[in-house]
Amino acid sequence: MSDGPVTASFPALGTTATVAVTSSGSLETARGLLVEQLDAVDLACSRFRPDSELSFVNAHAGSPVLLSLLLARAVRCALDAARRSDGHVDPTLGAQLRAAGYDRTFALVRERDSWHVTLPPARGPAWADVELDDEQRILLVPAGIELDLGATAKALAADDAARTIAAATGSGALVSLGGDIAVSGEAPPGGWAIRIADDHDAPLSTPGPTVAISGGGLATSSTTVRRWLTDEGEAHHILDPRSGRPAVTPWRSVSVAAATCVDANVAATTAVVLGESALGWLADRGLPTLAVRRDGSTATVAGWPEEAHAA
Amino acid sequence: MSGHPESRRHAALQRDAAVRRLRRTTQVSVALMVAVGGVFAALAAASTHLKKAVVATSTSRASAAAVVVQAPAPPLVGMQSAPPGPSAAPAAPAPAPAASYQQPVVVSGGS
Repeated sequence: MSDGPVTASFPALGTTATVAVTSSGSLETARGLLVEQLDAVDLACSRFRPDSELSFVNAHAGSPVLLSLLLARAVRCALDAARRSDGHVDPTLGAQLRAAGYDRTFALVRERDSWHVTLPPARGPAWADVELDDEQRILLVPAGIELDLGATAKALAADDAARTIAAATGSGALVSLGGDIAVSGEAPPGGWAIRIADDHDAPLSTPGPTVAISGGGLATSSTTVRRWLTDEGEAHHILDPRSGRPAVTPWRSVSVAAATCVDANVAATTAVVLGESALGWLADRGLPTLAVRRDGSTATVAGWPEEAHAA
Repeated sequence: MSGHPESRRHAALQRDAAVRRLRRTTQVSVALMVAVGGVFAALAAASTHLKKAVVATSTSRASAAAVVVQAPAPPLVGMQSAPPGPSAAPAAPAPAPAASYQQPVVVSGGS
C-alpha cells in the first residue's frame, strides 16, 4: 500500500476518464484495462461515430437488429433507467438532442456560434415501445426514434471498469468518467475523498465540499458545463422528455450517492428534470443528495453530510 | 334474309367451328395465366427468403419471425461478462457518504 491512491487521467468518451488505485504498482494495469474498456464502449455506444454499433441501430430503426453483448447491456440499462425514473431519463431522445444542437461531439458543438432549433414533431414517451429480447439480443427501435445512451452508458462503463480493475489487480479502484464515479474493492483509509464542484474538470484545489465513499457510486448532473448557444438562447444537454427541450430547472447541479454509479447518475439526472419536487423523490428513495440551486443555495437529502458542505 | 339452303348450312357449320375455336383459345389462355402467376409468385417468395436470415423466438415481439440485421460488433472486453449494473430501483449506498477533510482524489461535477 502506498501513502495514498495514485491516479491517471486521459480523454475518453468526449470527457475526462480518471482511474485511481490504492496500490501504485497496479496503476499501469488499471489504466490499460480502462482504455480497453472505454474503446469498446465508444465503438458500441457512441451517437457521434458513424461506425459505431449505435449509429447502425439508429439507421435501422423500424427493423430488428442483432446486438453485441455490450450494446445489449447498455440498452437494457438505459431502458431500466427510464422505467425506474418514471421516464424522466429517456434514452429515446436522440432526435431531440440533435434538433437542440447536440448533434456532434461536444467539443465541436461548443465551437459553433449559434444553432437554429427545429424540434421534431411532438410525441409521447417512446422508451416503452423499444423492444429488447435480452436472450436473443435482438432490438427493435420504433421507426423515427433515435437512441441516445449518453447518460447511462457512461455510468455503466464506470461501474464495470471499477469492478474489472479491482478484480484484476486486487487493488481498491475508483473510476471517474466525466465526474460520474464508481468504486470497487477495498477503499483507502477514510474512504475515497471526492470534491464536489460544478465542473468535473476543475482542479482538485477548487473550493467545494468533500465527501468520502467506500463503495457504490457518486454522480453529479449539472446544467452549467455542457451548454451552447442557439437562436432560442442557451441550451444544455439534459432534456425534459415531456417537452423535448432542455429542462427548465432550479438546479445548477445535483450530486447523488447510490449503490452503483448508474443508480447515482439516473437519480441525479431525474432530479434535474423534476426540479424542486426532486427533493421528495430522492428522500423517498433514501438517496443521499446535495442539490445546488442556480442562486447558490443548497439542499441536502437522506444523510448527505451537512458538515461536508460547510467545509 | 334468304339464300340457298346449302349455303346457309355451310355458314352455320363455319359459325359452330369458330365458336369451338374461340372456346378452346379462352381455356388455353386462362390456363396459361394461372401458370405464369404461379411462377411469378414462386420467384417473389424465393427472392425474399433465400437471402436473409429469419429468426423466430417466443420471448418477445422484437424477435417474432423477423428479418434481423446485425451491426459490426465491438471487441469483446471483460466488462461484458460483468453482472448487470442497475438494480431494480436506485439504491442508497451503505453507508452514506461521510464528510472528508482529506485531499480529494477526484472531482465530481458536470461534464
